[in-house]
Amino acid sequence: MAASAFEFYAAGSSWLHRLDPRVKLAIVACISILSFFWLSLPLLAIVIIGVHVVLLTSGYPARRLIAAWRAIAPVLILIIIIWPILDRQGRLLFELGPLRIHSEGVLRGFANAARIAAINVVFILWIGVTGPRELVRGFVRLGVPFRWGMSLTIALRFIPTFAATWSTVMDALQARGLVLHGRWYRRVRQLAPVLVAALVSALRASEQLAMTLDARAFGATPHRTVLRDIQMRRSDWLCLGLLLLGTAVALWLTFTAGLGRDLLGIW
Amino acid sequence: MTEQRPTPPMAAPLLEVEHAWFHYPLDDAPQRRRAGRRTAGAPEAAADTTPWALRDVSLSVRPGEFLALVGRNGSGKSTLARCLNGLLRPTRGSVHSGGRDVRDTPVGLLAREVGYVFQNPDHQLFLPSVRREIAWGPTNLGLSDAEVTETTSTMLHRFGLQEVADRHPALIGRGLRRMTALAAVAALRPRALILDEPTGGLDHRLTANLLSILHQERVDEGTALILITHDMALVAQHASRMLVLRDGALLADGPPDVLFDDAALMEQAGLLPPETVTLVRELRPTHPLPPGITTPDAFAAAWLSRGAADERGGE
Repeated sequence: MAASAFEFYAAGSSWLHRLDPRVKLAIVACISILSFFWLSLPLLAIVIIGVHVVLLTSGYPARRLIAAWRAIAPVLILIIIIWPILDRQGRLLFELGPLRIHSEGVLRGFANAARIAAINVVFILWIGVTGPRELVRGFVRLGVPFRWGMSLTIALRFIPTFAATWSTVMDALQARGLVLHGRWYRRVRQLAPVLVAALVSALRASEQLAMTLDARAFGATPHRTVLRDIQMRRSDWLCLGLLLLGTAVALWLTFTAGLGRDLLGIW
Repeated sequence: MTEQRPTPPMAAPLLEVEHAWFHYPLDDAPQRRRAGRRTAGAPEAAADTTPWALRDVSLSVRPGEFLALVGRNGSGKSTLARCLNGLLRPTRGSVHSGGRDVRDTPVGLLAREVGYVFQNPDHQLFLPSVRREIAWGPTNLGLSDAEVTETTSTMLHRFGLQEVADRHPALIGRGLRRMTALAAVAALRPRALILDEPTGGLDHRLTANLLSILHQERVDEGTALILITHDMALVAQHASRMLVLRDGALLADGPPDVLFDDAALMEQAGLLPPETVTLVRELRPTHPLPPGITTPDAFAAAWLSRGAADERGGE
Protein backbone atom coordinates (compact mmCIF):
# COMPACT_ATOMS: atom_id res chain seq x y z
CA MET A 1 0.00 0.00 0.00
CA ALA A 2 1.09 3.55 -0.65
CA ALA A 3 0.61 4.56 2.99
CA SER A 4 3.25 2.16 4.28
CA ALA A 5 5.92 4.02 2.30
CA PHE A 6 5.67 6.79 4.89
CA GLU A 7 5.69 4.63 7.98
CA PHE A 8 9.19 4.98 9.33
CA TYR A 9 9.20 3.53 12.80
CA ALA A 10 9.95 -0.17 13.17
CA ALA A 11 9.90 -1.46 16.74
CA GLY A 12 12.84 -3.50 17.96
CA SER A 13 15.22 -4.05 20.84
CA SER A 14 18.64 -3.60 19.23
CA TRP A 15 21.33 -1.35 20.70
CA LEU A 16 20.23 1.30 18.22
CA HIS A 17 16.65 1.13 19.49
CA ARG A 18 17.88 1.38 23.08
CA LEU A 19 20.23 4.28 22.39
CA ASP A 20 19.08 7.52 23.99
CA PRO A 21 16.94 9.52 21.54
CA ARG A 22 19.06 12.61 22.19
CA VAL A 23 22.17 10.76 21.04
CA LYS A 24 20.35 9.62 17.92
CA LEU A 25 19.32 13.20 17.26
CA ALA A 26 22.97 14.20 17.66
CA ILE A 27 23.99 11.53 15.12
CA VAL A 28 21.50 12.97 12.64
CA ALA A 29 22.76 16.50 13.25
CA CYS A 30 26.45 15.57 12.95
CA ILE A 31 26.12 13.49 9.80
CA SER A 32 23.83 16.08 8.22
CA ILE A 33 26.41 18.82 8.90
CA LEU A 34 29.25 16.71 7.49
CA SER A 35 27.21 15.74 4.41
CA PHE A 36 26.46 19.40 3.95
CA PHE A 37 30.16 20.26 3.70
CA TRP A 38 31.21 17.20 1.71
CA LEU A 39 30.92 16.86 -2.02
CA SER A 40 32.99 13.73 -2.43
CA LEU A 41 31.03 10.95 -4.09
CA PRO A 42 33.01 8.11 -2.47
CA LEU A 43 32.73 9.68 0.99
CA LEU A 44 28.98 10.26 0.66
CA ALA A 45 28.60 6.71 -0.62
CA ILE A 46 30.43 5.48 2.49
CA VAL A 47 28.04 7.50 4.70
CA ILE A 48 24.96 6.11 2.92
CA ILE A 49 26.24 2.52 2.96
CA GLY A 50 27.29 2.89 6.60
CA VAL A 51 23.82 4.06 7.62
CA HIS A 52 22.28 1.12 5.79
CA VAL A 53 24.63 -1.37 7.42
CA VAL A 54 23.89 0.00 10.88
CA LEU A 55 20.15 -0.05 10.26
CA LEU A 56 20.04 -3.51 8.73
CA THR A 57 22.21 -5.06 11.45
CA SER A 58 19.83 -3.52 14.00
CA GLY A 59 16.94 -5.39 12.46
CA TYR A 60 15.44 -2.49 10.52
CA PRO A 61 13.37 -4.08 7.71
CA ALA A 62 15.00 -3.76 4.27
CA ARG A 63 11.60 -3.27 2.69
CA ARG A 64 11.13 0.00 4.62
CA LEU A 65 14.48 1.23 3.34
CA ILE A 66 13.47 0.38 -0.20
CA ALA A 67 10.22 2.27 0.34
CA ALA A 68 12.15 5.29 1.64
CA TRP A 69 14.38 5.28 -1.42
CA ARG A 70 11.37 5.02 -3.66
CA ALA A 71 9.85 8.04 -1.92
CA ILE A 72 12.89 10.29 -2.44
CA ALA A 73 13.81 8.91 -5.88
CA PRO A 74 11.89 11.56 -7.88
CA VAL A 75 13.73 14.38 -6.10
CA LEU A 76 17.11 12.71 -6.63
CA ILE A 77 16.43 12.12 -10.31
CA LEU A 78 15.33 15.71 -10.73
CA ILE A 79 18.59 16.94 -9.15
CA ILE A 80 20.67 14.66 -11.38
CA ILE A 81 18.87 15.93 -14.48
CA ILE A 82 18.69 19.64 -13.72
CA TRP A 83 22.09 20.20 -12.11
CA PRO A 84 24.24 19.63 -15.24
CA ILE A 85 22.03 22.04 -17.22
CA LEU A 86 22.90 24.89 -14.88
CA ASP A 87 26.42 23.95 -13.79
CA ARG A 88 28.90 24.56 -16.61
CA GLN A 89 32.22 23.60 -15.10
CA GLY A 90 34.73 21.09 -16.37
CA ARG A 91 35.15 19.60 -19.80
CA LEU A 92 32.36 20.11 -22.36
CA LEU A 93 30.75 16.72 -22.96
CA PHE A 94 28.23 17.67 -25.63
CA GLU A 95 26.25 20.58 -26.98
CA LEU A 96 22.68 20.60 -28.23
CA GLY A 97 21.40 24.06 -29.08
CA PRO A 98 21.40 26.09 -25.87
CA LEU A 99 22.00 22.93 -23.85
CA ARG A 100 25.65 22.42 -22.89
CA ILE A 101 26.58 19.57 -20.64
CA HIS A 102 29.91 19.65 -18.83
CA SER A 103 31.63 16.74 -17.10
CA GLU A 104 31.90 18.37 -13.71
CA GLY A 105 28.29 19.50 -13.83
CA VAL A 106 27.19 15.91 -14.26
CA LEU A 107 29.36 14.72 -11.38
CA ARG A 108 28.19 17.58 -9.19
CA GLY A 109 24.59 16.62 -9.93
CA PHE A 110 25.28 13.13 -8.68
CA ALA A 111 27.17 14.43 -5.66
CA ASN A 112 24.33 16.72 -4.66
CA ALA A 113 21.79 13.96 -5.09
CA ALA A 114 23.99 11.74 -2.90
CA ARG A 115 24.16 14.54 -0.34
CA ILE A 116 20.37 14.84 -0.20
CA ALA A 117 20.05 11.06 -0.04
CA ALA A 118 22.56 10.87 2.83
CA ILE A 119 20.75 13.57 4.83
CA ASN A 120 17.47 11.75 4.20
CA VAL A 121 18.50 8.23 5.12
CA VAL A 122 20.33 9.38 8.23
CA PHE A 123 17.00 10.59 9.61
CA ILE A 124 15.87 6.96 9.70
CA LEU A 125 18.63 6.42 12.28
CA TRP A 126 16.49 8.59 14.51
CA ILE A 127 12.78 8.38 13.63
CA GLY A 128 13.01 4.83 12.26
CA VAL A 129 14.25 3.28 15.48
CA THR A 130 12.78 5.56 18.17
CA GLY A 131 9.30 4.97 19.57
CA PRO A 132 6.87 7.91 19.71
CA ARG A 133 7.11 8.12 23.51
CA GLU A 134 10.91 8.30 23.50
CA LEU A 135 10.77 10.80 20.65
CA VAL A 136 8.72 13.23 22.75
CA ARG A 137 10.79 12.58 25.89
CA GLY A 138 13.94 13.28 23.92
CA PHE A 139 12.64 16.67 22.89
CA VAL A 140 11.37 17.55 26.32
CA ARG A 141 14.64 16.63 28.01
CA LEU A 142 16.40 18.87 25.51
CA GLY A 143 14.29 21.75 26.79
CA VAL A 144 11.62 21.77 24.11
CA PRO A 145 8.15 22.39 25.64
CA PHE A 146 6.10 19.18 25.83
CA ARG A 147 3.43 20.76 23.64
CA TRP A 148 5.90 21.24 20.78
CA GLY A 149 7.47 17.83 21.15
CA MET A 150 4.02 16.29 21.07
CA SER A 151 3.04 18.33 18.01
CA LEU A 152 6.09 17.15 16.12
CA THR A 153 5.44 13.56 17.04
CA ILE A 154 1.81 13.85 16.01
CA ALA A 155 2.90 15.36 12.70
CA LEU A 156 5.19 12.39 12.06
CA ARG A 157 2.50 9.98 13.17
CA PHE A 158 -0.02 11.48 10.75
CA ILE A 159 2.12 11.33 7.62
CA PRO A 160 0.99 7.75 6.85
CA THR A 161 -2.60 8.66 7.73
CA PHE A 162 -2.52 11.52 5.26
CA ALA A 163 -0.99 9.25 2.63
CA ALA A 164 -3.88 6.82 3.17
CA THR A 165 -6.41 9.65 2.88
CA TRP A 166 -4.71 10.75 -0.31
CA SER A 167 -5.08 7.34 -1.93
CA THR A 168 -8.72 7.02 -0.78
CA VAL A 169 -9.51 10.45 -2.21
CA MET A 170 -7.78 9.47 -5.44
CA ASP A 171 -10.08 6.43 -5.67
CA ALA A 172 -13.12 8.45 -4.64
CA LEU A 173 -12.57 11.09 -7.31
CA GLN A 174 -11.81 8.57 -10.03
CA ALA A 175 -15.15 7.04 -9.07
CA ARG A 176 -16.62 10.47 -9.85
CA GLY A 177 -15.12 10.47 -13.31
CA LEU A 178 -11.71 12.03 -12.73
CA VAL A 179 -9.48 10.56 -15.41
CA LEU A 180 -5.82 10.35 -14.49
CA HIS A 181 -3.68 9.69 -17.49
CA GLY A 182 -1.15 11.28 -19.75
CA ARG A 183 2.30 12.55 -18.94
CA TRP A 184 3.27 13.51 -15.42
CA TYR A 185 2.96 17.26 -15.97
CA ARG A 186 -0.61 16.78 -17.14
CA ARG A 187 -1.28 14.53 -14.21
CA VAL A 188 -0.11 17.19 -11.79
CA ARG A 189 -2.90 19.46 -13.00
CA GLN A 190 -5.42 16.63 -12.82
CA LEU A 191 -4.41 16.06 -9.22
CA ALA A 192 -5.62 19.50 -8.08
CA PRO A 193 -9.08 18.15 -7.09
CA VAL A 194 -7.40 15.36 -5.11
CA LEU A 195 -5.31 17.94 -3.27
CA VAL A 196 -8.37 20.03 -2.36
CA ALA A 197 -10.45 17.09 -1.11
CA ALA A 198 -7.52 15.55 0.78
CA LEU A 199 -6.70 18.86 2.46
CA VAL A 200 -10.31 19.46 3.48
CA SER A 201 -10.42 15.96 4.98
CA ALA A 202 -7.09 16.51 6.73
CA LEU A 203 -8.23 19.85 8.17
CA ARG A 204 -11.41 18.25 9.45
CA ALA A 205 -9.35 15.45 10.99
CA SER A 206 -6.96 17.89 12.65
CA GLU A 207 -9.85 19.86 14.11
CA GLN A 208 -11.23 16.64 15.52
CA LEU A 209 -7.81 15.65 16.84
CA ALA A 210 -7.53 18.96 18.69
CA MET A 211 -10.87 18.31 20.35
CA THR A 212 -9.87 14.75 21.18
CA LEU A 213 -6.68 15.99 22.82
CA ASP A 214 -8.66 18.53 24.85
CA ALA A 215 -11.18 15.87 25.82
CA ARG A 216 -8.32 13.76 27.13
CA ALA A 217 -7.04 16.67 29.22
CA PHE A 218 -4.01 17.46 27.09
CA GLY A 219 -2.17 20.40 28.64
CA ALA A 220 -4.21 20.34 31.85
CA THR A 221 -1.06 20.35 33.96
CA PRO A 222 1.96 22.40 32.88
CA HIS A 223 4.40 19.91 34.37
CA ARG A 224 3.62 16.35 33.45
CA THR A 225 4.96 13.44 35.36
CA VAL A 226 6.28 10.51 33.37
CA LEU A 227 6.16 6.80 34.04
CA ARG A 228 9.22 5.90 32.03
CA ASP A 229 11.83 8.58 31.67
CA ILE A 230 14.90 8.39 29.48
CA GLN A 231 18.30 8.33 31.10
CA MET A 232 21.74 8.81 29.58
CA ARG A 233 23.63 5.61 30.41
CA ARG A 234 27.37 5.13 30.22
CA SER A 235 27.08 3.61 26.73
CA ASP A 236 25.04 6.61 25.60
CA TRP A 237 27.69 9.04 26.86
CA LEU A 238 30.40 6.93 25.23
CA CYS A 239 28.55 6.92 21.93
CA LEU A 240 27.93 10.67 22.12
CA GLY A 241 31.58 11.34 23.02
CA LEU A 242 32.88 9.28 20.10
CA LEU A 243 30.40 10.92 17.76
CA LEU A 244 31.36 14.47 18.77
CA LEU A 245 35.06 13.68 18.68
CA GLY A 246 34.76 12.02 15.26
CA THR A 247 32.71 14.88 13.87
CA ALA A 248 35.13 17.49 15.23
CA VAL A 249 38.12 15.69 13.69
CA ALA A 250 36.27 15.23 10.39
CA LEU A 251 35.30 18.90 10.30
CA TRP A 252 38.86 19.96 11.12
CA LEU A 253 40.19 17.75 8.32
CA THR A 254 37.54 19.10 5.99
CA PHE A 255 38.59 22.68 6.50
CA THR A 256 42.34 22.21 6.80
CA ALA A 257 43.15 19.23 4.62
CA GLY A 258 40.18 19.35 2.25
CA LEU A 259 38.55 16.09 3.33
CA GLY A 260 35.55 15.34 1.17
CA ARG A 261 35.92 18.43 -1.02
CA ASP A 262 37.09 16.56 -4.09
CA LEU A 263 34.33 15.17 -6.25
CA LEU A 264 35.92 11.83 -6.98
CA GLY A 265 38.48 11.36 -4.22
CA ILE A 266 38.08 11.14 -0.50
CA TRP A 267 40.90 13.60 0.13
CA MET B 1 -44.17 1.91 4.17
CA THR B 2 -42.56 -1.10 2.55
CA GLU B 3 -41.06 -0.10 -0.75
CA GLN B 4 -40.23 -3.42 -2.33
CA ARG B 5 -41.37 -2.30 -5.71
CA PRO B 6 -41.24 -4.88 -8.47
CA THR B 7 -37.98 -5.32 -10.33
CA PRO B 8 -38.25 -4.86 -14.09
CA PRO B 9 -38.31 -8.08 -16.13
CA MET B 10 -35.05 -9.83 -16.93
CA ALA B 11 -32.74 -7.66 -19.01
CA ALA B 12 -29.13 -8.06 -20.11
CA PRO B 13 -26.82 -7.86 -17.09
CA LEU B 14 -25.09 -4.54 -16.39
CA LEU B 15 -22.31 -6.08 -14.42
CA GLU B 16 -20.94 -9.56 -14.61
CA VAL B 17 -18.41 -11.01 -12.23
CA GLU B 18 -16.97 -14.39 -13.14
CA HIS B 19 -14.91 -16.39 -10.67
CA ALA B 20 -13.20 -13.31 -9.31
CA TRP B 21 -10.33 -13.80 -6.88
CA PHE B 22 -8.50 -10.86 -5.41
CA HIS B 23 -5.73 -10.22 -2.96
CA TYR B 24 -4.17 -6.90 -1.95
CA PRO B 25 -0.48 -6.31 -2.72
CA LEU B 26 1.54 -8.55 -0.45
CA ASP B 27 4.25 -7.11 1.75
CA ASP B 28 6.12 -10.39 1.80
CA ALA B 29 5.86 -11.15 -1.91
CA PRO B 30 9.55 -12.09 -2.32
CA GLN B 31 9.42 -14.60 0.55
CA ARG B 32 6.26 -16.05 -0.92
CA ARG B 33 7.86 -16.41 -4.32
CA ARG B 34 10.84 -18.14 -2.74
CA ALA B 35 8.54 -20.40 -0.74
CA GLY B 36 6.62 -21.11 -3.93
CA ARG B 37 9.82 -22.09 -5.72
CA ARG B 38 10.81 -24.42 -2.93
CA THR B 39 7.49 -26.23 -3.15
CA ALA B 40 7.63 -26.06 -6.92
CA GLY B 41 5.98 -29.46 -7.17
CA ALA B 42 2.75 -28.24 -5.57
CA PRO B 43 2.07 -24.64 -6.56
CA GLU B 44 -1.52 -24.88 -5.33
CA ALA B 45 -0.37 -25.70 -1.82
CA ALA B 46 1.83 -22.60 -1.77
CA ALA B 47 -1.01 -20.42 -3.03
CA ASP B 48 -3.22 -21.50 -0.13
CA THR B 49 -1.45 -19.16 2.26
CA THR B 50 -2.45 -16.13 0.17
CA PRO B 51 -4.75 -13.83 2.15
CA TRP B 52 -7.50 -13.69 -0.44
CA ALA B 53 -9.88 -10.78 0.00
CA LEU B 54 -12.22 -12.29 -2.58
CA ARG B 55 -12.53 -16.01 -3.23
CA ASP B 56 -14.17 -17.20 -6.40
CA VAL B 57 -17.04 -14.70 -6.47
CA SER B 58 -19.48 -14.85 -9.36
CA LEU B 59 -22.59 -12.73 -9.80
CA SER B 60 -24.45 -10.63 -12.27
CA VAL B 61 -26.36 -7.41 -11.72
CA ARG B 62 -29.33 -6.43 -13.87
CA PRO B 63 -30.89 -2.99 -14.45
CA GLY B 64 -33.27 -1.82 -11.76
CA GLU B 65 -32.13 -4.31 -9.15
CA PHE B 66 -31.77 -3.25 -5.54
CA LEU B 67 -28.88 -5.24 -4.18
CA ALA B 68 -27.56 -5.29 -0.64
CA LEU B 69 -24.01 -6.40 0.12
CA VAL B 70 -23.88 -7.65 3.68
CA GLY B 71 -21.29 -9.33 5.86
CA ARG B 72 -19.13 -8.64 8.85
CA ASN B 73 -16.33 -6.07 8.79
CA GLY B 74 -13.52 -7.38 6.64
CA SER B 75 -15.74 -9.86 4.80
CA GLY B 76 -14.90 -8.35 1.40
CA LYS B 77 -17.88 -6.08 0.75
CA SER B 78 -15.86 -3.01 -0.15
CA THR B 79 -13.31 -5.05 -2.07
CA LEU B 80 -16.06 -6.58 -4.19
CA ALA B 81 -17.64 -3.16 -4.73
CA ARG B 82 -14.29 -1.68 -5.78
CA CYS B 83 -13.82 -4.52 -8.24
CA LEU B 84 -17.20 -3.67 -9.78
CA ASN B 85 -16.12 -0.17 -10.81
CA GLY B 86 -12.54 -1.01 -11.69
CA LEU B 87 -10.83 0.66 -8.72
CA LEU B 88 -9.45 -2.81 -8.03
CA ARG B 89 -8.80 -5.37 -10.69
CA PRO B 90 -9.36 -9.03 -9.86
CA THR B 91 -6.19 -11.10 -9.50
CA ARG B 92 -7.98 -13.98 -11.22
CA GLY B 93 -11.32 -14.12 -12.99
CA SER B 94 -13.02 -11.22 -14.71
CA VAL B 95 -15.43 -8.33 -14.22
CA HIS B 96 -17.43 -6.99 -17.14
CA SER B 97 -19.34 -3.75 -17.09
CA GLY B 98 -21.75 -3.25 -19.95
CA GLY B 99 -19.90 -6.00 -21.84
CA ARG B 100 -16.50 -4.31 -21.40
CA ASP B 101 -13.72 -5.83 -19.35
CA VAL B 102 -12.97 -3.43 -16.48
CA ARG B 103 -9.29 -4.29 -16.81
CA ASP B 104 -9.08 -2.48 -20.14
CA THR B 105 -10.97 0.65 -19.12
CA PRO B 106 -9.68 3.51 -16.94
CA VAL B 107 -11.67 4.00 -13.73
CA GLY B 108 -12.53 7.58 -14.69
CA LEU B 109 -14.35 6.25 -17.76
CA LEU B 110 -16.02 3.37 -15.94
CA ALA B 111 -17.46 5.94 -13.52
CA ARG B 112 -19.94 6.79 -16.25
CA GLU B 113 -21.34 3.29 -16.03
CA VAL B 114 -20.80 2.39 -12.40
CA GLY B 115 -21.03 5.26 -9.92
CA TYR B 116 -19.53 4.80 -6.48
CA VAL B 117 -20.53 6.98 -3.54
CA PHE B 118 -17.88 6.70 -0.85
CA GLN B 119 -18.62 6.43 2.83
CA ASN B 120 -17.04 9.77 3.67
CA PRO B 121 -18.50 12.54 1.48
CA ASP B 122 -15.47 14.75 2.16
CA HIS B 123 -13.36 12.42 0.06
CA GLN B 124 -15.43 13.17 -3.01
CA LEU B 125 -16.05 16.92 -2.78
CA PHE B 126 -13.59 19.55 -3.92
CA LEU B 127 -15.39 22.47 -5.57
CA PRO B 128 -16.51 25.76 -3.98
CA SER B 129 -20.26 25.29 -4.43
CA VAL B 130 -22.77 22.46 -4.40
CA ARG B 131 -24.00 23.48 -7.84
CA ARG B 132 -20.52 23.36 -9.39
CA GLU B 133 -19.90 20.08 -7.63
CA ILE B 134 -22.87 18.51 -9.39
CA ALA B 135 -22.07 20.16 -12.72
CA TRP B 136 -18.46 18.93 -12.75
CA GLY B 137 -19.22 15.36 -13.84
CA PRO B 138 -21.59 16.19 -16.70
CA THR B 139 -19.18 18.90 -17.91
CA ASN B 140 -16.40 16.31 -18.00
CA LEU B 141 -18.65 14.05 -20.03
CA GLY B 142 -18.67 16.79 -22.66
CA LEU B 143 -22.37 17.68 -22.42
CA SER B 144 -23.45 21.07 -23.76
CA ASP B 145 -23.89 23.98 -21.34
CA ALA B 146 -27.66 23.73 -21.61
CA GLU B 147 -27.60 20.02 -20.83
CA VAL B 148 -25.26 20.54 -17.89
CA THR B 149 -27.51 23.26 -16.46
CA GLU B 150 -30.54 21.06 -16.89
CA THR B 151 -28.96 17.99 -15.30
CA THR B 152 -27.66 20.11 -12.43
CA SER B 153 -31.01 21.66 -11.65
CA THR B 154 -32.72 18.25 -11.90
CA MET B 155 -30.25 16.80 -9.43
CA LEU B 156 -30.47 19.79 -7.07
CA HIS B 157 -34.22 19.37 -7.05
CA ARG B 158 -34.23 15.58 -6.76
CA PHE B 159 -31.78 15.48 -3.87
CA GLY B 160 -33.36 18.44 -2.06
CA LEU B 161 -30.30 20.66 -2.40
CA GLN B 162 -31.80 23.80 -3.94
CA GLU B 163 -31.45 25.79 -0.74
CA VAL B 164 -27.74 25.10 -0.40
CA ALA B 165 -26.96 25.13 -4.14
CA ASP B 166 -24.58 28.08 -3.91
CA ARG B 167 -22.99 27.30 -0.60
CA HIS B 168 -19.58 25.75 -0.06
CA PRO B 169 -19.90 21.97 0.39
CA ALA B 170 -17.38 22.00 3.23
CA LEU B 171 -19.59 24.37 5.21
CA ILE B 172 -22.93 22.56 5.04
CA GLY B 173 -24.07 19.79 7.37
CA ARG B 174 -22.85 16.23 7.04
CA GLY B 175 -26.23 14.92 5.85
CA LEU B 176 -26.32 17.52 3.08
CA ARG B 177 -22.68 16.82 2.16
CA ARG B 178 -23.65 13.20 1.76
CA MET B 179 -26.55 14.18 -0.48
CA THR B 180 -24.22 16.42 -2.50
CA ALA B 181 -21.74 13.59 -3.09
CA LEU B 182 -24.60 11.32 -4.08
CA ALA B 183 -26.08 13.92 -6.44
CA ALA B 184 -22.64 14.53 -7.96
CA VAL B 185 -22.20 10.84 -8.72
CA ALA B 186 -25.79 10.40 -9.89
CA ALA B 187 -25.33 13.38 -12.25
CA LEU B 188 -23.11 11.16 -14.40
CA ARG B 189 -26.24 9.06 -15.01
CA PRO B 190 -24.49 5.79 -14.23
CA ARG B 191 -26.37 2.60 -14.95
CA ALA B 192 -25.36 1.15 -11.61
CA LEU B 193 -24.84 3.03 -8.36
CA ILE B 194 -22.74 1.64 -5.53
CA LEU B 195 -23.37 3.22 -2.13
CA ASP B 196 -21.03 2.54 0.78
CA GLU B 197 -22.97 2.88 4.07
CA PRO B 198 -25.10 5.70 2.68
CA THR B 199 -27.30 6.01 5.76
CA GLY B 200 -24.55 6.10 8.41
CA GLY B 201 -25.01 9.24 10.51
CA LEU B 202 -28.33 10.13 8.87
CA ASP B 203 -31.42 10.52 11.01
CA HIS B 204 -34.66 8.69 10.31
CA ARG B 205 -36.12 11.44 8.17
CA LEU B 206 -33.04 11.86 5.98
CA THR B 207 -32.72 8.08 5.62
CA ALA B 208 -36.32 7.76 4.46
CA ASN B 209 -35.78 10.71 2.13
CA LEU B 210 -32.61 9.18 0.70
CA LEU B 211 -34.21 5.80 0.14
CA SER B 212 -37.19 7.26 -1.66
CA ILE B 213 -34.85 9.22 -3.96
CA LEU B 214 -32.88 6.06 -4.65
CA HIS B 215 -36.03 4.11 -5.46
CA GLN B 216 -37.04 6.88 -7.81
CA GLU B 217 -33.67 6.68 -9.60
CA ARG B 218 -34.10 2.93 -9.83
CA VAL B 219 -37.62 3.00 -11.21
CA ASP B 220 -37.29 6.05 -13.48
CA GLU B 221 -33.85 5.43 -14.92
CA GLY B 222 -33.52 1.69 -14.38
CA THR B 223 -30.41 2.30 -12.28
CA ALA B 224 -29.20 -0.77 -10.42
CA LEU B 225 -28.50 0.00 -6.76
CA ILE B 226 -25.80 -1.78 -4.82
CA LEU B 227 -25.84 -0.96 -1.13
CA ILE B 228 -23.05 -1.82 1.28
CA THR B 229 -24.62 -1.75 4.71
CA HIS B 230 -24.78 -3.15 8.21
CA ASP B 231 -28.37 -2.03 8.68
CA MET B 232 -30.35 -5.26 8.29
CA ALA B 233 -33.71 -3.58 8.88
CA LEU B 234 -32.95 -1.31 5.95
CA VAL B 235 -32.06 -4.32 3.79
CA ALA B 236 -35.26 -6.11 4.83
CA GLN B 237 -37.34 -3.12 3.95
CA HIS B 238 -35.81 -2.07 0.67
CA ALA B 239 -33.55 -4.58 -1.02
CA SER B 240 -34.80 -7.05 -3.61
CA ARG B 241 -31.68 -9.17 -3.41
CA MET B 242 -29.05 -9.79 -0.78
CA LEU B 243 -25.46 -10.99 -1.18
CA VAL B 244 -23.93 -12.47 1.94
CA LEU B 245 -20.13 -12.43 2.14
CA ARG B 246 -17.79 -14.10 4.57
CA ASP B 247 -13.99 -14.10 4.37
CA GLY B 248 -14.20 -12.99 0.77
CA ALA B 249 -16.48 -15.83 -0.32
CA LEU B 250 -20.06 -15.40 -1.46
CA LEU B 251 -22.11 -17.47 1.01
CA ALA B 252 -25.55 -16.76 -0.37
CA ASP B 253 -27.33 -14.74 -3.04
CA GLY B 254 -31.11 -14.43 -2.88
CA PRO B 255 -34.14 -12.51 -1.63
CA PRO B 256 -33.51 -11.02 1.84
CA ASP B 257 -36.67 -12.47 3.42
CA VAL B 258 -35.64 -16.02 2.52
CA LEU B 259 -32.01 -15.57 3.57
CA PHE B 260 -32.85 -13.84 6.86
CA ASP B 261 -35.04 -16.79 7.78
CA ASP B 262 -32.08 -19.18 7.36
CA ALA B 263 -30.75 -19.25 10.91
CA ALA B 264 -27.75 -21.40 10.00
CA LEU B 265 -26.69 -18.99 7.26
CA MET B 266 -27.03 -15.96 9.51
CA GLU B 267 -24.97 -17.71 12.18
CA GLN B 268 -22.29 -18.68 9.66
CA ALA B 269 -22.07 -15.16 8.26
CA GLY B 270 -22.02 -13.63 11.74
CA LEU B 271 -25.09 -11.52 11.00
CA LEU B 272 -27.99 -10.58 13.21
CA PRO B 273 -31.26 -10.69 11.21
CA PRO B 274 -33.82 -7.91 11.73
CA GLU B 275 -35.62 -8.21 15.06
CA THR B 276 -38.91 -8.95 13.32
CA VAL B 277 -37.41 -12.10 11.80
CA THR B 278 -36.17 -13.28 15.20
CA LEU B 279 -39.57 -12.51 16.72
CA VAL B 280 -41.41 -14.50 14.05
CA ARG B 281 -38.99 -17.41 14.49
CA GLU B 282 -39.52 -17.45 18.28
CA LEU B 283 -43.30 -17.27 17.88
CA ARG B 284 -43.52 -19.91 15.19
CA PRO B 285 -43.76 -23.03 17.43
CA THR B 286 -46.92 -21.70 19.09
CA HIS B 287 -48.19 -19.16 16.57
CA PRO B 288 -47.57 -20.32 13.01
CA LEU B 289 -47.01 -17.30 10.78
CA PRO B 290 -46.45 -17.27 7.02
CA PRO B 291 -42.78 -17.12 5.86
CA GLY B 292 -41.14 -13.98 4.52
CA ILE B 293 -42.09 -11.57 7.31
CA THR B 294 -39.12 -9.24 7.78
CA THR B 295 -40.56 -5.82 8.61
CA PRO B 296 -42.69 -4.62 11.54
CA ASP B 297 -45.44 -3.59 9.09
CA ALA B 298 -45.57 -7.01 7.47
CA PHE B 299 -45.63 -8.56 10.93
CA ALA B 300 -48.48 -6.37 12.08
CA ALA B 301 -50.51 -7.17 8.97
CA ALA B 302 -49.89 -10.91 9.32
CA TRP B 303 -50.64 -10.85 13.06
CA LEU B 304 -53.90 -8.96 12.63
CA SER B 305 -55.17 -11.21 9.81
CA ARG B 306 -54.15 -14.27 11.87
CA GLY B 307 -56.09 -12.90 14.84
CA ALA B 308 -59.14 -12.36 12.65
CA ALA B 309 -58.87 -15.93 11.29
CA ASP B 310 -58.55 -17.28 14.86
CA GLU B 311 -61.65 -15.45 15.98
CA ARG B 312 -63.61 -16.69 13.02
CA GLY B 313 -62.36 -20.27 13.32
CA GLY B 314 -62.39 -20.44 17.16
CA GLU B 315 -65.36 -19.61 19.36
